[in-house]
Amino acid sequence: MSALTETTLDVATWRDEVRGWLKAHLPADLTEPGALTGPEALHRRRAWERELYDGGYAAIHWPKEYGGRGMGAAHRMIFQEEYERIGAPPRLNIQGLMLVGPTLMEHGTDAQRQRWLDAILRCEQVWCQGFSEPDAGSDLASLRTAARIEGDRYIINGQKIWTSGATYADWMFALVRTNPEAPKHRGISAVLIDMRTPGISVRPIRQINGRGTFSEVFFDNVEVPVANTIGAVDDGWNVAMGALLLERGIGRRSYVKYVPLLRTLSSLTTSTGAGRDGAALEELGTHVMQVSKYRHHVGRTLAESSNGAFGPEASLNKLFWSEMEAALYESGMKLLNDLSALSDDSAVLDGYGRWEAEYWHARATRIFAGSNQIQKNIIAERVLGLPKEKR
Amino acid sequence: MTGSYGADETSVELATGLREFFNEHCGLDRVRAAWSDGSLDLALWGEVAALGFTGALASEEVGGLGVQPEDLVLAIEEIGYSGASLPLVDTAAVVVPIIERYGSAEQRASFLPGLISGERIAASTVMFGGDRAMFAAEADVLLLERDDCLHLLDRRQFSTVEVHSPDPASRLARVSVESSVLSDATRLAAGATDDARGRAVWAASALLNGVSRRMLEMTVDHAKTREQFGRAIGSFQAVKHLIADAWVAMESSRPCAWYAAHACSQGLADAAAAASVAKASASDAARVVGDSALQVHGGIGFTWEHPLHFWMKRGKLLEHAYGSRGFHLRSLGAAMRDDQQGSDAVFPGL
Ligand SMILES: Cc1cc2nc3c(=O)[nH]c(=O)nc-3n(C[C@H](O)[C@H](O)[C@H](O)COP(=O)(O)OP(=O)(O)OC[C@H]3O[C@@H](n4cnc5c(N)ncnc54)[C@H](O)[C@@H]3O)c2cc1C
Repeated sequence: MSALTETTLDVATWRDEVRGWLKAHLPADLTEPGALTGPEALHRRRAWERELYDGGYAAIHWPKEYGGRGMGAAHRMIFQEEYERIGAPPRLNIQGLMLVGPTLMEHGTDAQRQRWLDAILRCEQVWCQGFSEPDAGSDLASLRTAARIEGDRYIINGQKIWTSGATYADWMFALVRTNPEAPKHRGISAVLIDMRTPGISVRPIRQINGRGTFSEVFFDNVEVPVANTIGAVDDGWNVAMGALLLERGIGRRSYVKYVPLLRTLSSLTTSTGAGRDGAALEELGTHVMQVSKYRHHVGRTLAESSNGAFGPEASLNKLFWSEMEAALYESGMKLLNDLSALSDDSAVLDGYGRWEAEYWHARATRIFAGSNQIQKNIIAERVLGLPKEKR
Repeated sequence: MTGSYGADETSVELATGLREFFNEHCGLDRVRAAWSDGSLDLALWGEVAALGFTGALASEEVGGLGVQPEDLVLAIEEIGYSGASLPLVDTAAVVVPIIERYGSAEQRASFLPGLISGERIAASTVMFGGDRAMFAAEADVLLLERDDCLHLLDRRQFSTVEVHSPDPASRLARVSVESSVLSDATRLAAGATDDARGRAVWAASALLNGVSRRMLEMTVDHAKTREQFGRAIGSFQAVKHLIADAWVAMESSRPCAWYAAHACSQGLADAAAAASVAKASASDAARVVGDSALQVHGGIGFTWEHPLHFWMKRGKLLEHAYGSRGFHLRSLGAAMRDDQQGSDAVFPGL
């Protein structure tokens, strides 16, 4: 990827700078495979986020006035590529940096920005996203968690579910129902909730892969200042829609993340003795094609929208990478099975367990951030202009 | 455009110009005419050549436009989109630039002017599959791949036998050449073969993406206007999802051809892989889009009368020519298998 928004030299210099800095600062133990959610790991990840902040890399695309570097989408993607190339851990505060921060910049008041943006950047507050409820998934606007206004406070009652990171998050970006009489999209508000407020309880849910990274969150007469509303009361749906586009768009991952997986598939193919088999090579080649397509899709999106403003086309991004990732892990499961039949090498077997956990996670990608069927609805109706369905 | 994925001025200008030209001069009637009488529309050929298209990649010294492959790639999509049945792509993207780069002074002098002006028509077997070429019977000049070398032949040096084409308006012939004809005088300089293969592949990919784009557009229009059960069929989710899948396949394929053209002209280390990615994904997209298109059109799409099949059949021809999906995927698989960390052949710079 070259010459996107600035001169070629700029981009190359930036890449070198990022590469050099990461190499000098990333602690080796954070690049090792393994679970990254235990208390000890969380501590190290927080420290790493702080290190990124001190180096000026916490959120390079944030405007300068909010502590970022005001860099464009192309520079951001280069940062992401380098971050993935060196194998740095997933960003701990992704919801704060990618969701809450930008939403506050767009819809928040000055006081709100002052209160939260800097703490997000420094990773002093880790955020979670409290949108989904037991009866409000794809049909998010039917959410029911109730926020009744009493004076300058909300009294919140209800339940969120599937909340990633709720066990360690300090704050939640929640959607709550503030007006049960209004049409369902018009009675929702976006509210920021301190997870330590009395009346909140978090119950982890064990996932399909045995990991416990999402939770149920219960609200029992939880008092939250009305001043924590982003945007107008009852206008939370509009606020959330911008946030969801950000979640689906290109900023969060690059093709580079998938190249080590291709290398793994390649060496598994060879180890199982299928390195000259036409069908096996075709399968490997399919994944190479997909990862390359993802690379060019991102490059093209950047070229066409260098200011980072992406529309409903963001759905293509979400749909594409999630299907690519799911298929990639699928092939690996087959190869690892074949290989474990041939070998009792412990390195192989260790890899099998880790791959399996990721394999299951790669199935969730088709469900979260708006299921893939929902993305297809969006493409059909909002990109291609097909008539809306009654919902 | 240097890797800017089709967003720069020159390529948009060229593509828009060509699109307007085809809108005006190559409406459905003319597309249909080429189908019914199966002969090459020489008048249309002459008009496109007069725009400078055939010499687009040739330098200005020899009378070309001197643009780069990445500036031409969007325009090539427009040819696929238009449905024009002309041997434009091989001539402009492969034969002319290859002669200019690898031909002897004599070959350049005797072949280039006629090809650039459009007086002579070229055919090429490069990557097409076997000794077949599109419009070889009509061609005055043949670029022939033989034993990993390229030869440049004039009409008296080869003969043709028409063979079946899945797309009746893209006539195919098998060429044969007396072995005594091939000599140092017909051979192009070393390096020509790989260069020509890469060009043929990215250009065919762009052409095919244009074909897919047209099929998809027809399908979206049809889904918006055709009513059943009292509403437009495009309001049914099963129809929406067929179309959305087709759109994703096509839109994720297009930038691959744009990048491949760029990688080829810049001689990047991943140029061959990029061409394979472009063609495999364009073939995938054409199949997915074609299947969805026919399904969504229903019975009307299954008629000779409805124009959808012009593009479907061109798609089918191009899908398997210039290296099938399987061929290119196996090449990519082998490239990945042989890739050493730090090599730039598949993912440069990592
Ligand atoms: C690993 C993981 C992490 C998550 N993290 C978070 C988080 O941090 N915060 C948060 O708020 N949520 C989170 N979610 C929840 C996620 O957003 C929802 O699971 C998702 O929106 C789908 O909702 P649902 O599970 O209720 O499924 P449903 O909406 O019940 O969907 C079930 C099936 O029906 C299909 N369907 C539903 N409606 C339609 C329609 N109109 N057209 C076509 N098909 C339809 C869906 O595509 C799906 O296949 C997470 C989910 C997972 C799996």
